[in-house]
Amino acid sequence: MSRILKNRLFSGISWISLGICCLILVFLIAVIAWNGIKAINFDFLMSESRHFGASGGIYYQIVGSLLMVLVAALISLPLALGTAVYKSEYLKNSKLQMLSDSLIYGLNGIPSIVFGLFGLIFFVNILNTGISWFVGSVILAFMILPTIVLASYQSINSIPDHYRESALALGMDKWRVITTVLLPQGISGAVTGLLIGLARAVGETAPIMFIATAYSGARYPDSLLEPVAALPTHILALAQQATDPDALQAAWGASFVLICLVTLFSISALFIRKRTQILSER
Amino acid sequence: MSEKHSTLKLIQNGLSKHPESVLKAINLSVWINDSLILNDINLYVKRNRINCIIGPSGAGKSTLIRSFNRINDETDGLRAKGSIRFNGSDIYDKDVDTSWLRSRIGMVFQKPAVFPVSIKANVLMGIRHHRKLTRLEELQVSEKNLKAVSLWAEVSHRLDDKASSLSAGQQQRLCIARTLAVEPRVILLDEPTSALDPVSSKSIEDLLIRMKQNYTILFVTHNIPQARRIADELIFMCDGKIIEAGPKKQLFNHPRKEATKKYLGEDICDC
Amino acid sequence: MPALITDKVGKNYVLFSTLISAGVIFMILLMLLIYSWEAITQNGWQLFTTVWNPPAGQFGIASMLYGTVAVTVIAVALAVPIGLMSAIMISEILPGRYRVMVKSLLELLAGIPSIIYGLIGVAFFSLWIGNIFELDTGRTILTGGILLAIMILPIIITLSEDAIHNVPDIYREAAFGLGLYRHEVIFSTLLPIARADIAGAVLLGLGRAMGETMAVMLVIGSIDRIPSPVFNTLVPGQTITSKLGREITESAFGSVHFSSMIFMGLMLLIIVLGITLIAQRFIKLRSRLYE
Repeated sequence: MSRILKNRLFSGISWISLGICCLILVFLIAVIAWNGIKAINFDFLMSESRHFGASGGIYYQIVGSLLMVLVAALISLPLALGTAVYKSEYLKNSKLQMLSDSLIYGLNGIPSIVFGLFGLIFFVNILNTGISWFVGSVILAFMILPTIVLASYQSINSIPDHYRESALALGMDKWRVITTVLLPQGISGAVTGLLIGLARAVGETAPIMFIATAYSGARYPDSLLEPVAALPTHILALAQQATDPDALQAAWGASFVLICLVTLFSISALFIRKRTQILSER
Repeated sequence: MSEKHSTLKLIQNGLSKHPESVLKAINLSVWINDSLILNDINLYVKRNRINCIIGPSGAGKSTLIRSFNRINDETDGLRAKGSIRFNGSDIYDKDVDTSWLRSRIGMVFQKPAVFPVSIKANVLMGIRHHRKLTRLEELQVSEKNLKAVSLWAEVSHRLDDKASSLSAGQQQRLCIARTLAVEPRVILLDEPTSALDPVSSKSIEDLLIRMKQNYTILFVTHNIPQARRIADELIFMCDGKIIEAGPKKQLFNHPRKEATKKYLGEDICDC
Repeated sequence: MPALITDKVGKNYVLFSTLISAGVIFMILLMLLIYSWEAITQNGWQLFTTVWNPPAGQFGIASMLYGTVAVTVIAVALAVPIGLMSAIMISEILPGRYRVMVKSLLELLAGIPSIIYGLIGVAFFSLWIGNIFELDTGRTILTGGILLAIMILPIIITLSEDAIHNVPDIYREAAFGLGLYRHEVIFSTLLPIARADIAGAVLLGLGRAMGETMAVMLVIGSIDRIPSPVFNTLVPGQTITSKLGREITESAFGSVHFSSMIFMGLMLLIIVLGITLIAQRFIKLRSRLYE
């Protein structure tokens, strides 16, 4: 085959590949948006689900999902910031650095269902919490930990050394340097990481489906140790009765709301990252 | 492709009006994202000479030399007007095969970019795509071109070693060897010694002087002593324009323009 | 508070958070190991047989292992060629201004929760597969593989595009300067240079596909068996993850049944962790993780 022909063939195949990807993208977005918007109205968003979700709305599912991820954020953020500071400012041994990297990437790579198994064994059974939204929050907090640690580590570690040195030269002790010089910068990285983590956490089903959620009847929890309803597990329940058109309709509606939450978190992350980039360029 | 070859040969054999000039730019202007980089360039590249483009950085030297084998096509936002003629035909014609063009007009860049394969595979990287080689031919081509750049003695016993194990100067000579292997008529060199130490630079300069018998060389530098050492023809560029061009002696000894005198004498450019 | 004390409290706080963060992964491994111990001692090599029948005390996980490998192989086989060619297209052919747009769209795609992929799989893909191949049910191993391929496409494209794009321009110019055509430049210079990072991207995609639960669980049909012949993927199957998702709540905590399920989880964890850590050696995904 001549070289020119091969080059043409190659361009053709590349275009087709990208075309397939675009087609998939358009299909997914169209399906979710089209079916979702049809299913959504004020009533759907603000009322309780009935008949295992086939009728009624998803109000408590939204509440439950938001409650779980926001508490997960509260648990995860201080842990992650502390870890990032330690890794950046105290951990100087390169072997330990590598180990900590591996642990963080490893934690990030753990399949989400394994987190669910861990929660089921350790919290639900050994600590005997029973099915509890708070346990769900803790597990989600562990899941998003690596993302936040890496994001804040990067922004703390990228602060040039002369800031640290000149602050130390002013007679500040190390912790003062960390809280006044490094953390303000690190926080923006941490928040970016946090929002990206939340975008992922809010859609996770496998880690919470055994340990934190109820499929029907859950409203506002009265204590830490009660189940809540959540969007992803609600979609799961509805998808399993997909032959019922009402259930399917409700599933599309819930999916659309879930995607909106994910997008909200992602876009805020993007926005914060943009803003801090602009600030740091000044 | 063979038709194109024959047309070009025809032109080469008699139709060309400037037999001593292989390559010429006519009214060439180049913009990158709407800023004018080259402003109405007219340039004749003399056959079997070292044609040396000299000028301060930012003068557009690189953009100009990169126009001659259309490697500029890869630059985002670049737009060109005017024409460049190679043996009489316009290289910016839309049915020109850039692969063929670049095999006729080879190029060596500022930083030696050896591919992460063996020394031999680097020499053969270009040629083996242009025509099929037997094992024996592969060895012959490697030997011939490595000898041409005086690298053979240093690497003949380790042709299968990684090319990255060579020194920077050796790497640059390897880059020249792989360009020669494609058998070009013209070789463009864009500051090929600026990343090298003086000894390696010297060996490349000697190499270029030997090469000009067989090739037409277009060479960019901002190093005035280097231009004085090796150039035959000098083209002084500044701010996207050619200020003055002519034989080296003329530009160094009797420049017509004040700016040329000042630049070549004091390395100051005030155009 | 005196400065000396805050300094100390501060240091202890960061040390303590680091220990917790690092400890989680060991804790998870330890829990899974302890609770799969009973299955290992009770069943031994029986664990790797094909019969899973809890009432009869038979816990062979071979069908689930097969299912996991099969969907992963299908996903990778579909996603890698399409993903790699798309990455080449985005990095080397598409004009730069479209690159950012396409990449942000891909990130959007990557952000879709897996349960929604599952819903789309149930509502469309399984029906299509059923109709095209005239099957009784479109919930098959192939359906799971195709859905997974779509799910890992964005990560494969994004990471391998980065890898190719990061090859310095000097190599492109050198190769073009030798008169190579674009496909020759890409295949004989750029891809070999970016090889390690691309391998990392593929491995990460592979790990993702293996550990994915919700989408697979909804479309795979959930029947524990190895098809015959083994490459007939147009039948329902079961993966480790779908089995866990479906059955863990039906097993009593502390039973051999439960323990065997946890053993599967442990197998999955070890394989996926291994793949992730190898992938990490191939690429510096530090900056990508949170983008």
